[in-house]
Amino acid sequence: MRVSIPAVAVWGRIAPSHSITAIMITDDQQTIVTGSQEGQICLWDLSSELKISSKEILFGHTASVTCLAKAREFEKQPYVVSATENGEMCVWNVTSGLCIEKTKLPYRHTAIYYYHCSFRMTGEGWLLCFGEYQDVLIIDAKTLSVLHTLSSQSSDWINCMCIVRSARIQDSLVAVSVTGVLKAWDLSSSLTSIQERQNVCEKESKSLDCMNCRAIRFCTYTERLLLVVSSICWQVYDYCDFSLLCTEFCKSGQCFAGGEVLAAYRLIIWTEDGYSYIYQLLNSGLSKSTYPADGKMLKETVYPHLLCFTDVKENKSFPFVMGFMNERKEPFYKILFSGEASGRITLWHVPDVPASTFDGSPKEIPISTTWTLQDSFNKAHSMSEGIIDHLCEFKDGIENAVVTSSVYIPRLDKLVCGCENGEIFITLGLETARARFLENVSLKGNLPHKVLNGHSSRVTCLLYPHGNSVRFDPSWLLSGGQDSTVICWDIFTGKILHRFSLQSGPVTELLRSPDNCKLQYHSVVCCVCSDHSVAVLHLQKKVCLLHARKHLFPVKKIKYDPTENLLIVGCEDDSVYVWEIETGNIRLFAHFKFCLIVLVPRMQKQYELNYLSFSHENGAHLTRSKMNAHMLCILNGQHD
Amino acid sequence: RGAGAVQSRVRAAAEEEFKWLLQEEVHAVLKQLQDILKEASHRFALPAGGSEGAAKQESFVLSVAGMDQVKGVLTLQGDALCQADLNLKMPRSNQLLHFAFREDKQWKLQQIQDARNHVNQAIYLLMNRDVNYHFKTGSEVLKLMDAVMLQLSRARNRLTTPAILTLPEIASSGLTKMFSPALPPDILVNFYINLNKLCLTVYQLHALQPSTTKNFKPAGGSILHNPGAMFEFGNQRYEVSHVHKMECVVPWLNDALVFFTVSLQLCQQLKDKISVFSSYWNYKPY
Repeated sequence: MRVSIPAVAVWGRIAPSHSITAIMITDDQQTIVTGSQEGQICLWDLSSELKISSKEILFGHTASVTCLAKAREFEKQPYVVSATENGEMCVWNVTSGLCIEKTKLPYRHTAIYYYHCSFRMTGEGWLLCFGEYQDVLIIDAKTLSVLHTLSSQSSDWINCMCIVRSARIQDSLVAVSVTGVLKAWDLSSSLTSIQERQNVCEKESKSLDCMNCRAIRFCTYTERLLLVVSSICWQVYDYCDFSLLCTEFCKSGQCFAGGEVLAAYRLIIWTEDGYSYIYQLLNSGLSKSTYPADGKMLKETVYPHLLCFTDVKENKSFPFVMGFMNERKEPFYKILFSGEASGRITLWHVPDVPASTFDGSPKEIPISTTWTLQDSFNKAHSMSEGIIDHLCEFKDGIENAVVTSSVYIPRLDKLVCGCENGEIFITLGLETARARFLENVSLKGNLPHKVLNGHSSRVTCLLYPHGNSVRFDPSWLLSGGQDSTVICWDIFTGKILHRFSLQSGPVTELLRSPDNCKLQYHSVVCCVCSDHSVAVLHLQKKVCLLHARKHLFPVKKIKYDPTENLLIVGCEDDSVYVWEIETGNIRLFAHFKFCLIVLVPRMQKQYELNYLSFSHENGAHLTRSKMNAHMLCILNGQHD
Repeated sequence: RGAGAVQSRVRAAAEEEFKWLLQEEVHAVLKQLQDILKEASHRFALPAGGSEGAAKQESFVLSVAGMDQVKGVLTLQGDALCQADLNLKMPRSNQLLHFAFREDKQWKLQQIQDARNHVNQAIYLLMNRDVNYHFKTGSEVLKLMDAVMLQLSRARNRLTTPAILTLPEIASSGLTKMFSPALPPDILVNFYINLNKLCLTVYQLHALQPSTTKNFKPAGGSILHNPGAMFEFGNQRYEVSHVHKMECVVPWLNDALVFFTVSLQLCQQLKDKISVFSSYWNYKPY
């Protein structure tokens, strides 16, 4: 029988960072859902007075969230779907916070739209998706499996899309590709074809000459106008014949990011830096067509009149993602909302009938609410003390116990915390946790602890090598700091055994050597510094065996080749450096997966080209096969 | 205290230098990046708008060394092959076979299309970030560089990572229906981009009889399948008896890859410069 272990997360004073990359409001206007670059989804309560408070933060994704959308009709089930940069998709119940379904697909979605036609479709509905792939994907809303694609004559990525639903015309899907081609697919009449996996192509396609199209919206009030927003201008087309009715360009230095239809002949357009503009489209009557080919035909045109605008306060942070929720049913509001990289949500309540000021100039709509996670944290009444707060002095009223790294050693029940000011606290882990959460007693002076002073600034990483590998001396505790030093401590006496001074910027990672190393390497650890260098430190001999400094990109993976005493470093740009630990030379530098450059510093001899293949999962394997490699010579001055 | 005064002077100097970095150096690097990426984008010859202004056509001869009779002349127009002229000599039959794309047919090379779109995405991110734009925080620059680098890495990966396909997937790809005369059922063709090369693989198959003594083990996905690989397709089992692999360097793909690499290095160097300042004080991103 499986035993489930409930986990409790207790938050401190500082809210976790939540860099908003996607934002939506649920149909009942009670919940705001935000997705972040960190991969978390945050649920916020929205009160009827438009007050925001944070409710829950959902963990699960491992990459930045790209989009959010509803995944069912909200009255039936309060489900929201999220998608990330690495293809993960999750369906969440936003009332309970549970993950209903998840998957990982080889597709990166830019946006998802829920579609369901209850009298024609069985099942829970479809998610119509587009992104960094061709055309439109149809994904089952319940199982998250790919059902089908809507293809086109000249397939390409789609930039924006909207579902056209009206009583008069059948449901269609209108999209604009990255090359500015508008495509329209029949949805209602294609339902059977889609369900039978037949090829479904667009029924219409027209080149709009609109590059960087950001949004396309169908006006359900007039059932005639089509709003197309691109980064430099927005345009209104007649949906019946796709004739262009008006164009409005943005101010220099500004960039449009999206828009929505507010009412018949009324639009809201927003920019990528958080501003928005509300226009009324005034009919300028019939005038001569702008297209000479139409001859003397009189065409109706409209021109925009700016009614209102919104502004953002000064403490804004880029980038912005914005959206608009348009509810026609009272008592719901028309809300313009934005989420920022700093984690701030801002709401504007757009009046039902926006009007300009008395003298006709545009009127500013003020911000209704603005809120962040930190605001929610600051409001909390009961605040748990930090786990080692009781051990630190209060200097000038500010605690110094900002813990910047920590490690728990189960065998010794020691909790080691490294702090912002360079101090390292060692205390009993379970005892402290128990006293903190269960007995609620003041701990000052009750529990034994040690304070290690050695770093002059922030402690960035900690490592207890013996914890995972008994080959290491059980008294060794390693700490890395912002001061670019690695200190080897005796954890029992608190004495410094050795200090390695690396002069490479802050130490970012400490790693013990893997088990397949030569016997002599059970005293060796690796550390990575902020200048992307890797230092191999021998703790017993107290020397640095190798400081590999030539990496241009952050280090992603480190492996050892025990047979030849090589350090293999894989970097974020898919380059691989193979270092000889004894000599400190680079034996091989490989760029890309199939190509090779051999570097033999200080020697001009031509070496046999070995075919180096590697995968990110397994590290590097050297395979020897003679071949004439096509050399892609991208050498820079640093590799001489 | 003396130490405190020194520390605040060092900090003031660091802040001045950081301000200079955000106002001057960042814009210089972004300008350089924009120039390089525009060059890269031109290599992909994206047509001006829709289907007007067709990209120029370039023909490439792909052959196997020492076998003059086996070759393909492929014509690349932007992201699609608009003509493929294949001359194949199959070992068993000793005939010389000739196939070409049907008049109206084009084969889109999705790797090129995706790479082109990623480059344009990177360019779009840098739009409106010229000298007139004021970066307020280092974090803003870092986020911008991360977003640009992500697109450039993806662009490069699309060219360096051909699709891993199973033989049934190659057989059902629709490529077989593009040729005139129609490809015989015992020949499979696959096109892909590998780094800076346009590659063509031709597989000759022989049908496995149900009575065969061979142990049938379907081959998994691969970029290139070897003779002996087996698969089942349309109720018939096959074994690959011969593989022709032909490739040709496409110079503009080579240029594009160099541009991607140089751009990535520029971005990383700028990120590293900004990160140095985060160690001066308690770096709060917002």
